[in-house]
Amino acid sequence: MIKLLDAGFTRLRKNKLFWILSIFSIGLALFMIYTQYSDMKKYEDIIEVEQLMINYATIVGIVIAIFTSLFLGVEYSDGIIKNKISIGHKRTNIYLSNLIIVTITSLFSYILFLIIIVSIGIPLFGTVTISIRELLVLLGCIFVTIAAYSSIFTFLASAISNKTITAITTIILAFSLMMIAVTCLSKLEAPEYIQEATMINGETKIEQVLNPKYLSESKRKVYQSLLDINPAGQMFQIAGRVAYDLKIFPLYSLGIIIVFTTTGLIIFKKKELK
Amino acid sequence: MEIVLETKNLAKKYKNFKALNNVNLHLEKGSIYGLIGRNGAGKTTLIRIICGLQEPTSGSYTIYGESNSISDMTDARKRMGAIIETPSIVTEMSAKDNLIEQYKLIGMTNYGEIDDLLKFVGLESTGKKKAKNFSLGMKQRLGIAIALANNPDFLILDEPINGLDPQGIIEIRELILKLNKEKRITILISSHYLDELSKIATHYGFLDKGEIIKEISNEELMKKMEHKIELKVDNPKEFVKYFEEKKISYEVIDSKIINVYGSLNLSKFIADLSKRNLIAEEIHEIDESLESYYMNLIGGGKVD
Repeated sequence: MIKLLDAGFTRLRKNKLFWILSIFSIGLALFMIYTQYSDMKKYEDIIEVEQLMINYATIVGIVIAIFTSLFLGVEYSDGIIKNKISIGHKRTNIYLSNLIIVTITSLFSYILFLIIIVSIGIPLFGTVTISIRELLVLLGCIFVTIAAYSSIFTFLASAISNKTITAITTIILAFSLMMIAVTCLSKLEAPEYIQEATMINGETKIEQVLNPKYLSESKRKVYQSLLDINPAGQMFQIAGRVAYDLKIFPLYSLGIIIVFTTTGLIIFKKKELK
Repeated sequence: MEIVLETKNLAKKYKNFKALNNVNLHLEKGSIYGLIGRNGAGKTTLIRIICGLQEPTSGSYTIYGESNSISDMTDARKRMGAIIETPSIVTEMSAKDNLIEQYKLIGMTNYGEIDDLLKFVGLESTGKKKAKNFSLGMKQRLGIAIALANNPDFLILDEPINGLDPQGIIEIRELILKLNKEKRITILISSHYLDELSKIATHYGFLDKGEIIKEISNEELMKKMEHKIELKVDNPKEFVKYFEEKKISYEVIDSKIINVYGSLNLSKFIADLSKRNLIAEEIHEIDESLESYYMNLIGGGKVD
């Protein structure tokens, strides 16, 4: 396993994609700082630096999907997996080492983003307005969700041997998870009552009526669960700071990691490589 | 003779298609074993199974005595190098970086030998050039260098000259011979370029429709491929007696056919037989090549 990780990280360092990912993380942080600083100057907005620190969470899934599919896709297209197996590496170790590399690289991308935000953002906008404990809980949840994303995309990239199909599938999945999360959030955020205007004898009357789109209690539970299980849903709730119970997110994420990694290992061990 | 690779009734089925059917193959240490078969005969499937990329449906195989049925063959595979279809190279990296990557994969920390290895395969001057810009022949040689990184005793090369130009074919051929002679590496090489194989192989396995239909050493094959005269006779015993007496190399094929080997003058040979009252029903003079031998073997046509 150590040998696989050593070789994998060497390949990573030589990989153009890794440097693009790093530049993207730095660029995104700088862009966010710049736009927030402009708003602060123009509209005298108060910028909470911790909000900047957690904003990347909303799109990190797509970034991980692109990185994983292209980095691991090459394992098949360039015959790297064939080589690893033929020189005696166990399939379980190959799978797990790839998962570790993808997870660490994804976390590295987020940490790089955080370093820029902290080192430039705090001098510009002031220190964080929440307790360090609260901030660490938020970031901890994000990191565990990143590991969950990595396990899903490693599973797909290992199960599909074609680099292009892997890339398309993972990116579509990443967007789908986001769309599902947005849909669930909008349904859950629908107000219980809405105002309705009626005309009686030429007079407009506004009254509060029950919103037909407001979810029943049982449906709310289903949508909330869908939102909590979905890594994109977790990230949206963390970034929007609307999560009612943060503690449950790492549990769901660990569940995702266990389910996808176990299934991925079973499939990969039986996979007929061509 | 030590056996490096042995397969026993190895079979592979893809749904209803039998890619391999009871394959029994024996590869001796120090040999260059040419695995011959047309496209779809099962060569690559066999190699994929041996390299652990696929599992056989039934049967077993041993590499250096380690059986796939009782272990995952990790130790045996550490003594192997392989190129399966295309060389396993990271195209975004240089030749040297590819070898460093391979050294790390096998846990070797001394990179001092990398330059020697690059020199051995003739890639010492590629510098920082990325493998994606290499010619097909260079990629193939880099693939061989990668497969050699762990100093294997056994090398598997699947169609190593596919797509190469004549110069590339010569380079790979010389490299294979050098590996076998200088490094004493046992080589299993699959190809459908029979002419090329005949220049390097010491043993052959003929694979057709998923079955090994013949295993033969180059020595035996050469004998069979010599100029020969095929006689169709009624009384083979009399002929055999005469050939023994005259020390003529012969082989009784069946109750009617005898093959006579060596550079005999046909008219003089017939005259000598007549003097002894040995009359053959039919006499054919045959010059066989590996190609015609193979075609005869698979029933694809007779070459007289």
